[in-house]
Amino acid sequence: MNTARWKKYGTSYLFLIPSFAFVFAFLYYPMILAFFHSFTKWNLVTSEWIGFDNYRNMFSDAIFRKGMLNQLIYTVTDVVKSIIFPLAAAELIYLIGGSRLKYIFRTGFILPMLFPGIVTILLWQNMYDPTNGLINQVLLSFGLDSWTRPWLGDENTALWALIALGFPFISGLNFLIFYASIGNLSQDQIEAAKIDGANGWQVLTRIHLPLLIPQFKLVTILTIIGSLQDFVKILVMTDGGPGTATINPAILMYKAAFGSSEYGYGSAIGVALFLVILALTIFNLKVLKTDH
Amino acid sequence: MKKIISLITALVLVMTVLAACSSNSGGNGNSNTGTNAGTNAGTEGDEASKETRTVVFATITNYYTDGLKQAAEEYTKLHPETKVTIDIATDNSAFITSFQAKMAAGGKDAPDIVHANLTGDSPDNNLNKGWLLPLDEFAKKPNPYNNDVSIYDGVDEKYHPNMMTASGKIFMLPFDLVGTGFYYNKKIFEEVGITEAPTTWEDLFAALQKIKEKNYIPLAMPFNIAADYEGWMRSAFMDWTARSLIPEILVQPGDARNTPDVEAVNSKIKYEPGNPMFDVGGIIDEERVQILAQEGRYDNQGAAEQKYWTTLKELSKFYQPGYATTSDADLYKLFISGKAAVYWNGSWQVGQLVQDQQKLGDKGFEWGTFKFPTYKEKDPNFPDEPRGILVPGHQLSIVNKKDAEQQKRTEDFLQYLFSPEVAQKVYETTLAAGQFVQGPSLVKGVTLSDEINAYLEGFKVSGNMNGSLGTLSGGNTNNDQTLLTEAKALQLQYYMDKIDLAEFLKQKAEFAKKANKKFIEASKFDLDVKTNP
Repeated sequence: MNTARWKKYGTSYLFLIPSFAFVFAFLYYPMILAFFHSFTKWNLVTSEWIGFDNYRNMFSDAIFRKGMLNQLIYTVTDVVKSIIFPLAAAELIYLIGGSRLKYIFRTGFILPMLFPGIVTILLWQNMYDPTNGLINQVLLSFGLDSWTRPWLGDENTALWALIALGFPFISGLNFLIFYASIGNLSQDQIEAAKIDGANGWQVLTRIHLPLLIPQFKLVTILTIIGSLQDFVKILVMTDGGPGTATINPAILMYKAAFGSSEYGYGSAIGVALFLVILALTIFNLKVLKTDH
Repeated sequence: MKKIISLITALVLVMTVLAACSSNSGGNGNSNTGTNAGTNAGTEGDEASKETRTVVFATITNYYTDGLKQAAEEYTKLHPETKVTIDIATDNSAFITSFQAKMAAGGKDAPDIVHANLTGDSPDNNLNKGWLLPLDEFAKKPNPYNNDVSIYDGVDEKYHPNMMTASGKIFMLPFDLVGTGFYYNKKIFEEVGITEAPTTWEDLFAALQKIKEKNYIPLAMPFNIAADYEGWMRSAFMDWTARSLIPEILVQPGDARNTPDVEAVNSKIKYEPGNPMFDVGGIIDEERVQILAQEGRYDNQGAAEQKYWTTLKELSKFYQPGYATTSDADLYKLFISGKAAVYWNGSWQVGQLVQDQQKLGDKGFEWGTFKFPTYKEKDPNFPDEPRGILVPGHQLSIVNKKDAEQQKRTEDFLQYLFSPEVAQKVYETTLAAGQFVQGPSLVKGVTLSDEINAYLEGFKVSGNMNGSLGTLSGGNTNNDQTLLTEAKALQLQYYMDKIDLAEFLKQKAEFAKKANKKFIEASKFDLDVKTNP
């Protein structure tokens, strides 16, 4: 680095170094270590190089394959939930008249962002409780006894009960992204369309949706990453059960590392997840490229 | 700019020097290595004995927590130079993870006293790795807090064999007994016309059916992998049916793992029908268990398996709705709120139940305990009486910190804790706080009230079951979470009528082979007991 450059940017570099050192120490270094350990049989005390055995075991494991299938369902439904519902809410608020009313609704959807996620999870866990839970109690009060279920304890309903967690799925962040973007759309274009006779549905499908593609991409990739990494709600609510009904790779990774002390195998699952996320991100950025 | 760089460099240097200094004198003062402590006797040793140190006792939430805290405070009053702190983990797995991580990092930050049964490894391995200290000499040292009666002599001698590892070394000090059994709500039982606690499976099923018809949850059963206490039943059945095989899985003369101490214990063990205590302290060789499994000496699809799995499936019809994912904490709530009539669990819930019932006052209910039942008709596949868990629960070990002074302080606190007066106080304080009292104290001289003793009656099974026999039925999963998940999923398929008994037993036998193969590889067994790889 030349002196002039150092003189100009030296202070910035100095201030950046500590932050980057922490990022490296606590994010990149463990990631590199995990990659290395994914080729070992490691229990925190002893480590033995076993080549690709962890990866071979992973793909030949029926539970891992079941976890991948469940993950696919989680991810697809997560993406659908993260786009349709916040977008619908943003569009509806955009359409209603009166800035005060808009403000109230907007705030109402954003405020839940302040609640810790675990609160929502525990709340839903209580709602699903087969004995005292709100859902079964409501069904009983309407005489629908045969509809009651152990929602999280039944193989047929557990996965969908987890997917339904958080209904009506209006994530504050996604809502904000869509709402802000809709507000920034060119009003001239929309007005011109209306003059040309476009109705509300046509405005939505022909103008709003095409112009919101960059936001869809952003929300999609954030959701995919979040979905692949998500395991807290599964761990708390079902621990992957009943049987393997709700298991996903992240839970398997956690259990392998912290339940069975198979840190090498856990690392291999982690690396595989990382590669999937990386591939999907690149796909999203490159293949679904737009001019926006 | 040069000035700034110089200033920062100087600052970093100063911080480094300060950090180095503080690491030498800070913390709990564990800077002396074992070598230093051993060689620098005399003046430095005297100084070490005067310096203030902290002894850390690691335990689990509610696990005698208040009693131990009080003992620690009173000990520190007696010995101001030693501060004892009680480090509380949220649950068993958090305890194990924390201990393993700290030991893997060198052990400097590890606690001084741990639960030997919550280290994630076998006692012998822990001693061989140098993680825990052998306690042979210490346990037999005169205890100044108990009229010079050693800890070894101060605890119930029936449980001396439990203190030893497979190679005959003392690795832990037993504080209490722990047992398993059924809690039941006497009020609900009376409501459905049952006045006596069931003693046979047939009576139990009849009682549970009547309770179900009254719209109560008949049985709260911890079933999910995180707290699979139904597994104790499976182990109890296996022990009941295959107990006669125990002498064959013990370390035997000529085995590579045999030592004079092991031989002294194992040579006395002979299977005696009608004597449920015949194998107390017997030291098992897991390699022999694997050999027995390979030889197919136990038919894991045979009549005994068919009978006990049919019994378990029948029992599962009375479990709480959604039992596959219900947490143990929620099950306790079902029982204490009077929604579930029976609750299968360990004796450690007694203290909590006593206190919660007191809090409930008029809304509370009378409760009792009963044991794992027998069959009404004698079955040659299930001879004798069933056994259950009946072993020391609070197994205390000393972590090898390689620091003689730290070890001396830790030992002194343990001697204090194992004096009858202090142990009695620990019990009383624990009960008053509604925390876990797992069972009768093993410290001689500690007594419990008649009320508590009555509650603990249901846990005093005829003897302690041998958990290793389960390998012959379902394989040794070695706590592998993936295998446990697979086994549980298979079991659920059977309970949910997705596969019949024959198919279930066939798939379970295949699973057992797979699990055992993995265990043999992980343990590096060559299936020759004359060698010890």
